[in-house]
Amino acid sequence: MKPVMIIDLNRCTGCLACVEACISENIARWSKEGLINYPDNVVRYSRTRPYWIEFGDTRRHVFIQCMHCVNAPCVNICPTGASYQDENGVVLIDYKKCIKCMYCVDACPYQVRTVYEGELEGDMLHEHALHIGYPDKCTLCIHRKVGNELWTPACVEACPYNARLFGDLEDPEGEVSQLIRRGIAVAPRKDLGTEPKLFYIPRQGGAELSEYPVRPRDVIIPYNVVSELKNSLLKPLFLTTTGLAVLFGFIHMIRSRGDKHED
Amino acid sequence: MKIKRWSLLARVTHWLLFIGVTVGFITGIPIFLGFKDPIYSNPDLIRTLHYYLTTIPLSIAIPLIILRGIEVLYRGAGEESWWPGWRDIRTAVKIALHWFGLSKDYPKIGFHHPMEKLLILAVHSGLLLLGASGIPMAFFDIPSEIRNLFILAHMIGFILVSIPLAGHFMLAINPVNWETLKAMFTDGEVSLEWAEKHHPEWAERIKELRVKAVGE
Repeated sequence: MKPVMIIDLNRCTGCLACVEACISENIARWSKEGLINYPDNVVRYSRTRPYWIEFGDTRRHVFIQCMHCVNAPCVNICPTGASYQDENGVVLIDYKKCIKCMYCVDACPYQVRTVYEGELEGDMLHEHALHIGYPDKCTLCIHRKVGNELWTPACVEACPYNARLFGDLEDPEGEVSQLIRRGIAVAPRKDLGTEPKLFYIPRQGGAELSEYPVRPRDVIIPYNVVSELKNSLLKPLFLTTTGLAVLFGFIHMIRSRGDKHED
Repeated sequence: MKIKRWSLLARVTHWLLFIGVTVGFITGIPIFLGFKDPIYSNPDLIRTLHYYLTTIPLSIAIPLIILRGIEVLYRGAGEESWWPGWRDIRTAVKIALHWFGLSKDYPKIGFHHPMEKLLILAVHSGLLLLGASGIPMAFFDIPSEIRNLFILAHMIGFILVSIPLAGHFMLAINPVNWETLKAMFTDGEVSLEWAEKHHPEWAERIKELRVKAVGE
């Protein structure tokens, strides 16, 4: 199973029902008094949030959220494996492994990882809910998954216009996989090479997708190259050379007993 | 007879570097190698230690290193200079050949072992890279477009510092060097016998100077 999401921008009115559903599902906390607590500027911390793009005199919106990339820079850069892909390719965070280096936040070309550092009283609603001080992102409501069945994320459930579709890319008969296969639903910024699994059905030829709000990728070295350099060169170099230094140090220690030349 | 090996300035600088680098290493290695520190499993504590307990001693040490450089220059760079030259590289090669049993000749060692000079150069360059990349990442909001360059520079700096320091650590715990290690902890003085054994060229120069002083 390869869960993917499609946002149909022709149907989306920007009513923010998805945002509200996401916040209630993943961000809000229940206090002991039975009150629901939200962070300040809560839309900023919603795992799906609107982004407006200027087109001459008009403004159009798209919703940004984790793209669950196949070649995810956040997963590749994470030093501890806290950012990982589960067996279905959903990019998740293991908070027990996270050391808050925040490399993933910088590495995400879509700028969808947020960090809430403020106070928030109450209990988390599930284990994948917002963790204060840790990177946060869309999990496709993985906590709703039961067994190996396809589930329905809160935003998809809440959308009154059925603008959000969720399905299995490996199901050839499914609406979602057919829309993608026929090229009706497209992934934005394919040039980044991250192979996103969030697709859009664009309005009027997809002009807004070319303006998709990715951080200017004029970075001198892409994050995946930094990860590759670290994992295939710097890490082995460090382990080998420090290991040799310690080994030679021991040999030197043994040999230098009574040797007048040693230092 | 005791002779001065480490000035107060050199000792203070060394221990400041020791604190900063040790804390930096312990708190930074989980990020580099990718594990959650088993001792300090609290990421906030690790980050605070990494940002402050590393940066503060090293920030104090840097002006002291500059001062030490001026001190050495003032007293005559000569043999106490830690800047490696071709002679040091040649000597280092001879030592390596001797170490691996490929040559019987063992060159005379001056105030600094040539390997020590190379180590100091690598460590200082690494610290410079670590500071230049780490301080902006920790305390300033640098543009995300160039942040990955800072991360890469920080990793290279980490390697430049940690490899020679692994060797340095092994030499420091070697019993033949305990006298100079003790000197680093205390008054900075070593015996002339130790100097003759480990740094004969330097010891000879000290003896020459003393004979000259007595003659005058």
